[in-house]
Amino acid sequence: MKKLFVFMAFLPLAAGCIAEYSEVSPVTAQKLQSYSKKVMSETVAIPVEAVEFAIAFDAYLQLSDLEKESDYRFFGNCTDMGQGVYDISYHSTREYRYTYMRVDTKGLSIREEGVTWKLLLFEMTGNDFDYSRLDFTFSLPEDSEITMLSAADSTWAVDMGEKAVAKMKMHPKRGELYEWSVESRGKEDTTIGMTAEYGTVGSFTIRERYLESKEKTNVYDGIFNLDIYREGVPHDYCHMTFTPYTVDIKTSR
Amino acid sequence: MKRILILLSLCVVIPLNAQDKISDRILQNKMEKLQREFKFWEEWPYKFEVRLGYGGYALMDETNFIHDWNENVYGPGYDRPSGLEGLYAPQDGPVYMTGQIFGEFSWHAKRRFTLSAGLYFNGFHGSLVDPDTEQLIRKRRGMSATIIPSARFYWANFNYCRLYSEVGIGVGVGTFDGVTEVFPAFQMTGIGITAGREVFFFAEYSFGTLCMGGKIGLGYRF
Repeated sequence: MKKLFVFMAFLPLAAGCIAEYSEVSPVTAQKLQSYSKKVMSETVAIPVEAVEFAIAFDAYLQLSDLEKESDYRFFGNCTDMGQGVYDISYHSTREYRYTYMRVDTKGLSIREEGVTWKLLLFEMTGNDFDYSRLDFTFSLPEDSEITMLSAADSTWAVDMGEKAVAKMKMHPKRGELYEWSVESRGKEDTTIGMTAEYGTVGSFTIRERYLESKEKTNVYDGIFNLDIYREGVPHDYCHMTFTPYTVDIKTSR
Repeated sequence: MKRILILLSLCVVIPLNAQDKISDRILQNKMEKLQREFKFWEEWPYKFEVRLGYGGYALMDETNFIHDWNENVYGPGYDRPSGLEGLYAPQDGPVYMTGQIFGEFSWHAKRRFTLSAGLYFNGFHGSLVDPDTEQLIRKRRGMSATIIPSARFYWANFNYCRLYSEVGIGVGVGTFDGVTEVFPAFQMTGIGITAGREVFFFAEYSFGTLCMGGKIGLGYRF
């Protein structure tokens, strides 16, 4: 009896209590897809949204004070910080989008060839950047630059520094609906020997259409590939083919 | 012998024909206390005791060494990497603690008062895993050791059972996966019980920086 008593008293030593419930999250096809969709949104879809937003804001700046009062997007949502710097915070209930932009216009119009606007901050929340219909917030790297390359061809470039450079051509609008052809290429390095190279294959089309509620949404048509290297050796990939209705994804896992 | 001499000296020094009733009452109380004390030591002829026990959840160890590990190493406001680095960077697996394993040595100074010194150990172990291959990179190990002197107050004494409370202040040192800290320790036992005489079982409900919750173990009085 005494031996059993002693054994029971020391039994808890064999157990342990868990102090931290961290679970290892391995690299899976799902994680590669999530990462790839995020990169595609940030280097293809969001730069196009940023250029559209900048063009609309540029048009607003050209209006007279009285005409500005009729603009639902920017009037009351825009703060003049001085020296051509503006702070805009706009929440669209119709498109379920929230956009925040702090831009240095240098007092010039972005619709003039060769002019560059510096996007000190650009952030957009929406649910249609990758057909997932889940709300996400994406942002451009700080101090990204929008430049009008050619007024005749309606082409712009968005330079996101080390992250990516996107070039886009605006096609004639269908009423209020934009259509763009985008080419984007970029790279991401890490401190652990992994590198990702990504971009559109050929031309990637983004065009707007109306939903039943008259809300605008994006339709994508094109290929976006992301390849991951470990110490320069191909390691993983995620290749996405967008059609107007769906996205077909192939991953290495 | 000492106790008899004290008793005798009290009888000689204090006037037996004291007129003051309060003085009589004080003397009577003191006599009764001494008698209880003598009777107790006759029934419980144990001056010392040693204990070996386990238990309580080491909440401060968990916070200092495990939850705060990233901030201790990388600085306040540390955020886990995101993007490509977040996908492939080594990840921490679950971390476990053994729980507090302790030994105590006590000196029964009085019927109701004991001085004690305890030594507590708690071990930690976890793992670092490569999320790419799901292979173990290395183990993460550590432990903490605390020395804590304390005072114990027995507020109920029976034939085979004693009830008590305890309070202690001490200092400890611990290390986990390359991070070392020295820390103060404070522990209070709200209620404890011993069952047995020479060999006894004890159980406590305790809270403080050392551990939170129930502790149990075995002891030996001599």
